Amino acid sequence: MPFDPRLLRIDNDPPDDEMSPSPAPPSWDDLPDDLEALARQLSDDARYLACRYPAAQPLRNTAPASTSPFRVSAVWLRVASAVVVACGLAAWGWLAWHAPPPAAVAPVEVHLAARTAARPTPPAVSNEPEEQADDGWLVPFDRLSAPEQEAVLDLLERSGQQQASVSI
Amino acid sequence: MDVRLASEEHFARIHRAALVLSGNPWDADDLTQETFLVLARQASQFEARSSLFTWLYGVLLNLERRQRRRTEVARRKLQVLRQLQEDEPPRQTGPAAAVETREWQNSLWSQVSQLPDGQRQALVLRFSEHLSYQQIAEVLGCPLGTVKSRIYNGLATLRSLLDAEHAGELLPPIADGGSRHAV
Repeated sequence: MPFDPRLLRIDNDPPDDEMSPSPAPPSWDDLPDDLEALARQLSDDARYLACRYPAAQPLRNTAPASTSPFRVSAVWLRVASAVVVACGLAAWGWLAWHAPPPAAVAPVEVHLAARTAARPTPPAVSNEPEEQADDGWLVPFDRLSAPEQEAVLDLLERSGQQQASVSI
Repeated sequence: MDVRLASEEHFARIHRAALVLSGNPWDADDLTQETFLVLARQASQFEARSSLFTWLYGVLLNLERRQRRRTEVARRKLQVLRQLQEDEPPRQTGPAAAVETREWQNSLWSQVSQLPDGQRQALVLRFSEHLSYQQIAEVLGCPLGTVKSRIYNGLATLRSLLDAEHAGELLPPIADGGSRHAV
């Protein structure tokens, strides 16, 4: 059917004039036959396209993030990690606070100092029996050199023990 | 409001409307997802002054209008680039794209996409979604008389486009990659 301007009022963009609305055109049932045919074809085309390209699955993750089980477990994991770290720090601090005084280690330091001092000196000629070599790191005081003896005495003095009497 | 339940209930109808509005299934999928993302973000602000599906249609129409404007701007930029590079051969489209292009060319909704926004949206809501005039007025936020006027004038304009096409008159060229056609 060719275009008939008497039937139609063509506007490129009908104005949205709410103060004086345009006269209502005929209702859906009063449309000319060609326009009604167009309307039916539009409906058929829409139905065909909807069948041809159906909707994908609706959104699955629209639920709030806090209710996701994976999200909940991750939060609890962080909380547990923080608690473990806090306990570890507290335990370390308690142990450091209640650590034994350094004086208890002094005897070992004396022996260690004696051993350390004994290392650089050349092996002294000794008439002592070979069994004494098996004593390990215990070195007789009189076998130490003068500076080494002084160092040992300084350690003893520092540790608060009674200074050993040495006869040189 | 249960967003998941709402999306399962209205997803198909919103997707159908997005399909005839956008002209291709990829944009339709994006528009539908964006619509329900808006719902998920603003569910607490929905005051239930209108029904949920009319509210969703309103969101969809706004998103689609914004997307058309962005696509039009991009199309004009591409046009300028192509004019500057006229010696380059045109791109070859794949066989799948060619089939869908024919589908949209055969569909009447591809002609509807040339109509102004008001008429196009009214036709979609009336003849694709089968909303009543009152519901369409609620979605578009305009009086009932305006809705009927847009529908009538939209059909009339569509009729004139078809008459002109069948009469062999030259229609405005449709640039490649236009928003109403799949490439």
